[in-house]
Amino acid sequence: MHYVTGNVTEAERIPHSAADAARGAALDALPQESIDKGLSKDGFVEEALPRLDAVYRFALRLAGGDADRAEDLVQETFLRAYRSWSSFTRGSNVQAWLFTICRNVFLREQERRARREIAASTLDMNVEAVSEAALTANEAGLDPATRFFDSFIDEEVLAAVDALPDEFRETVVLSDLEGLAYAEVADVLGVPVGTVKSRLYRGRRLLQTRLLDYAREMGYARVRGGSE
Amino acid sequence: MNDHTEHVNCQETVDRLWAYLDGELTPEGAAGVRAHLDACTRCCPCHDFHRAFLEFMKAHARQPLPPGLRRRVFEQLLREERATR
Repeated sequence: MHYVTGNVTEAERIPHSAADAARGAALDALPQESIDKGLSKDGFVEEALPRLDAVYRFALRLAGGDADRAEDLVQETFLRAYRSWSSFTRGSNVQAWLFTICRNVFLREQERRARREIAASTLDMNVEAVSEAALTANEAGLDPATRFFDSFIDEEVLAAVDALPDEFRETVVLSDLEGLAYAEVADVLGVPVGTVKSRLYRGRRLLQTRLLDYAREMGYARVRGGSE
Repeated sequence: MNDHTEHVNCQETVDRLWAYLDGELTPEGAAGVRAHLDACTRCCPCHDFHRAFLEFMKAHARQPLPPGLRRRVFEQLLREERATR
């Protein structure tokens, strides 16, 4: 179910049906020159539109894997980016700029939804457990590490990412999936670099522990001790 | 190891491991961690596990763009363009 974002009304929205998906796939194959002609803002097509894949991935993780919600976030992000293109400093990091807009759209929309409450005490306990688990992973029989990670399928990893608390999830996604530097992540999130490091390390540890626990549950690995 | 290499112990190595793998240390700091890892069998497994984790995340936690989304975004921008002309 699509929700209405900003000035995009339901009447304007193109239905996301199977037929539309087929049509869209065909239209996607159109030569770039025929697409470029319609937009007048200089450089937007060349600089911003190629970032669509990365913005979608970011939106998808922000939305906890909800594809419909991610599409709405992407549409609203690019609409706002187009409107404010003149304020973008040419030559700076357009991907980080788009991520910032996307996150702002998400947060504004999120305010209208009930936020998940994470009990701080529980979280701290989990992070402490993870630290130990990550450090002892190899001693626990997970060597070589690459073979351990190869046992997962993509959906399991994405589900583990989506289950992270918001502030850890967005930091891990920007750094580990999209490859932004600490300073760039800090710019997008509007926090100091030290906060990025802290969230990133704790988020990764949390993720590692969840993967370790999952591997143990599924019999991918026999872990002596574990994270308890 | 050259004169500019920092000398770091196991705890310092573990503390700096993520920043090292992310390429966020100074050249001297990175050289110090690297030198320690070359010589320490205790820290190497942790380094290998973290590195495998990061490589795995980059390789597997990605998803393709849904069919038609590029077109839908573009059409929306065209509507915006026409509305503001």
